[in-house]
Amino acid sequence: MNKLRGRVETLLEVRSTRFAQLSLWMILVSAFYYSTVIEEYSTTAQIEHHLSFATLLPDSMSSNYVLFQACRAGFWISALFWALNLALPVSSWAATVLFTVLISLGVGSVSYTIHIYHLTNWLMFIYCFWYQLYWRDIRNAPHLLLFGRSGPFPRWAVFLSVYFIALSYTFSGLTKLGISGIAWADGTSLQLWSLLTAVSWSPTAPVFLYDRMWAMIAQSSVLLLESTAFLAIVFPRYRPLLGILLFGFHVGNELTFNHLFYGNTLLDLLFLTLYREDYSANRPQSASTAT
Amino acid sequence: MFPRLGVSRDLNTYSYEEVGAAESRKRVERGFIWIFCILQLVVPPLVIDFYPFTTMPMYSDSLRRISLFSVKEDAGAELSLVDFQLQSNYLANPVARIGRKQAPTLNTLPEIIPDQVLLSHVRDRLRHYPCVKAATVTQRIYGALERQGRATAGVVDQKSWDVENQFYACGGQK
Repeated sequence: MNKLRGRVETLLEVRSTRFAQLSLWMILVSAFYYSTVIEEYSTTAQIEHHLSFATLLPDSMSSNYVLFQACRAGFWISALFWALNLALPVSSWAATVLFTVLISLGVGSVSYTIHIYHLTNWLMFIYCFWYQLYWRDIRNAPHLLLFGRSGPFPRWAVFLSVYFIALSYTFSGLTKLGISGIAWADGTSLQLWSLLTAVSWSPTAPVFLYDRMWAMIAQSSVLLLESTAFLAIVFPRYRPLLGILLFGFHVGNELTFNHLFYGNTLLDLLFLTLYREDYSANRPQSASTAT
Repeated sequence: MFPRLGVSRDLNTYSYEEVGAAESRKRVERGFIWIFCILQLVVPPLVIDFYPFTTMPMYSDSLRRISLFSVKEDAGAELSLVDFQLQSNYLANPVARIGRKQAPTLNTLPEIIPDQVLLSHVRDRLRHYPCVKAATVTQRIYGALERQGRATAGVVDQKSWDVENQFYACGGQK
């Protein structure tokens, strides 16, 4: 427990890095993209399960297209202010809350769930909290838009992002194992999905359909990759490799089904592979170097 | 402005107020880290899908067979499967927390539907199409199969029905 507490203490350190501003912009780019993709479908169908807090609202609000569009417009404006480090921390909270409400309204209006928005949304929460605590420093930084060199960026912002990314893939892998067992990876289901739902221009679907062996290799790799993604939380040196492998997984996924996981693909690569932290900086000095 | 502890300034150069504010912020940060980690670990398995929490359960089923229909009028045009309640409600999500209730369907199992059940159902639905004289309903079951020595997937069973519209009354003709 003490070791864990010590680990948490190291996450409170702040760094100066250009990655801070770059990653915020990438998160907002991803959120902007998803805000253009999400739609609210007008339906009178009865709610069977609550998929988001929006469905808990009265029908006049949860199926209100004007409210939906207002959230979208409000998000765009506040996200622009946040990206430019203006009107802090109101803009960061407004962008995060409006994006969450926008997606909740869209998700609550359909009979199924898709999971392309969650990663971007949670990373926005993490960054929003960072801005809430450091917005004065960020605002007063000498180079506002390029504050990466002088602005304080706590290590926990990256750690929690990596934690969420790794945990969500692990949940996905474990759900497959829990529901279908190891047989999930036998290739049959991927062949059927490829046959029935692949995009017409897919270069990968014919490969999976050519012989089940290829589908089995792809599914086995995905199952192994997802189920062991949590290792990136405790072994930072695994993160760059995991980022590349997840990038490959998402590219394959898009080339087959075009599920629009573009934001996840970008953010996985950014946080796992492109962000390089100097881990040696926090190691205790050895006896020889200390003396 | 909060002092940036741990970056460059020596702690001794801070005022009491600055150190107090920084310590207070660190307490908030510690709390946020713990709460976030525990929340993300505990809540998704409990709710499965309640935006923004999720265990990402899509495509976790192991699909073996699936049934798909097509309905065409005598002239060859496709008719709405939802109108005929023959659409597939498959979501590729075995623990689907379906939000809005899906439209009802007769297509629930990957098996050829018995003639009597299908015919009486389609005849009844045709009452909504008084200008369609007859319809051809085709059910295809997709699953794993062997083709030219290779393991692939395709149609493993299919059946078609021609159904006369007993409610045909277009332009006053019957």
